[in-house]
Amino acid sequence: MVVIVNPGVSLTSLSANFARAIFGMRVPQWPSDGELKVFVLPDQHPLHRAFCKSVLDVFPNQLRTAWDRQVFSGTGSAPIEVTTEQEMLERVAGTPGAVGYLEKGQVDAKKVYPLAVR
Amino acid sequence: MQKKSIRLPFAEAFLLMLLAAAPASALELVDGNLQLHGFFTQGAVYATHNNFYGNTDDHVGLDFREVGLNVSTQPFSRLRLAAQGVSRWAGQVDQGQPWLDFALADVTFFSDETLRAGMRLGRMKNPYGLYTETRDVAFTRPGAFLPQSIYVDRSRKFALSGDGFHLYGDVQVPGGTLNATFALIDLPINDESSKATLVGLNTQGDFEQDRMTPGFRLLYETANGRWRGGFTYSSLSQRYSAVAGERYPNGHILLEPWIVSLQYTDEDWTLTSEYSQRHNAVQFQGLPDNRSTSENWYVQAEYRVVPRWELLLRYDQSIQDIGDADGRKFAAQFQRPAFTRYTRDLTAGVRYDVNANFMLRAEYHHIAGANWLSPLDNPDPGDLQRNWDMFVLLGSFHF
Repeated sequence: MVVIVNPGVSLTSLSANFARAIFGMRVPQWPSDGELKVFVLPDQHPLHRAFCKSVLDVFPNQLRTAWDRQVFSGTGSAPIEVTTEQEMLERVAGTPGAVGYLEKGQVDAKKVYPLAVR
Repeated sequence: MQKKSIRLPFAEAFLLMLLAAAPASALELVDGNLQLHGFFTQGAVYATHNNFYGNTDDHVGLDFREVGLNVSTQPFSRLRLAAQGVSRWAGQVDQGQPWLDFALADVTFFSDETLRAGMRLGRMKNPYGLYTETRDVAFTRPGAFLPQSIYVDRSRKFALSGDGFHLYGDVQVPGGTLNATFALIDLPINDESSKATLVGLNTQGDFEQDRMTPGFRLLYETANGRWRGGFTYSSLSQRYSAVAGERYPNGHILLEPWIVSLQYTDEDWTLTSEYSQRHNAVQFQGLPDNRSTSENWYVQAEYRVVPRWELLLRYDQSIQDIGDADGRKFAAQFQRPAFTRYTRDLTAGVRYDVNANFMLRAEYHHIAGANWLSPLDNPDPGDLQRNWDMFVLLGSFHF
């Protein structure tokens, strides 16, 4: 399981805390000032559940609660939801500043860059 | 008890139409650059005695409804714009008047791996306890309604949203993240329900803030988000300008609440407790000054038994004046029931998520006391009963 970004993103690694902040939708932009767009799979998707637990060490319901709280209080947005791994790959590849996740074997290195989580 | 018709004014009908046309998940327009979210909630309340959210005294009241729609966009990475309109019906307290819940510009000053800081301008939700910011959004609430001790609905405008600015920071600290919000706002406190709560029914005068209301909230969250702890403080100073011949003369009311919040979450459980005190200083010309401290707290467990099913158990207690916890001094002085000075509410409920967008709740409340009931729904204190039970059914849709 790896974090993937659009090739335009200059970061090469990120801390687990920063990854949690990004997928918790608490980060408005990349540190280099670029726009940041977060993509996720549906809450019940096995890959989403596995990513939450193994990379972020949070439960999917915690993320959902945090997104809802932000959306309905005006303090943040929800991530963009894609339905399949293929769509995840294409949207992250085609959206400047995009970040998402996939299984290592699903990453097409010509389209997206993997980010190491420190 | 007056019973209002359930007629939808145009604005609400339009919101409902939009909700009906909405897709199952958030509406994303302009390639995800514009997000549209909304909710619709309908409740049914029956109480063995007393009126809460409508005419519910031995009667099923359907006068509990919440509709909202919000839009947000991020035109630049440092600027986010968001607005939400809400219509709410809850007995005489809220009668569906369209309400601009928030409309704000959020500007990021600084953002890197360990620190984010910025400012919000416009109308913002108040950073008050764990739940105020989404108090009218049923599927974010633990229960059909929030614990009425701390999140009292009869004077809800005191802690709903306000106009001004928020400064906020999100900083990485050992073991987790610290979120701090400082608010300086104007509160729209001159509504009928708040007035009825503070100075009684049929008053003609007006409440006005003496000054902008300052408030802050600190929230600490462990790195994995399992534990959250918070502290909230706010200070609301207001003047009452009476008209000639009123029961109450000109006066001044200072309210200073603080809240300590603690929450534990894992996959199956969410355990929450908040404890609050509020210092009240009330002065009306020609009447003796009245200083008191209110105490409000609750403990609550939410347990996700199997997927889509959640159980709720909560004990919620409110004491108007800790110097007169059983209300006896008050009863002797004002010839009003002592139990209108406290409430103990034991709640058991169940939530069923039909799907990701639709939720049902059923809830039972076993209650002693009546200090958070609105005088608008219960105009004659002589009609109130100390011991009562309440049943609530609720359905909520959101996208």
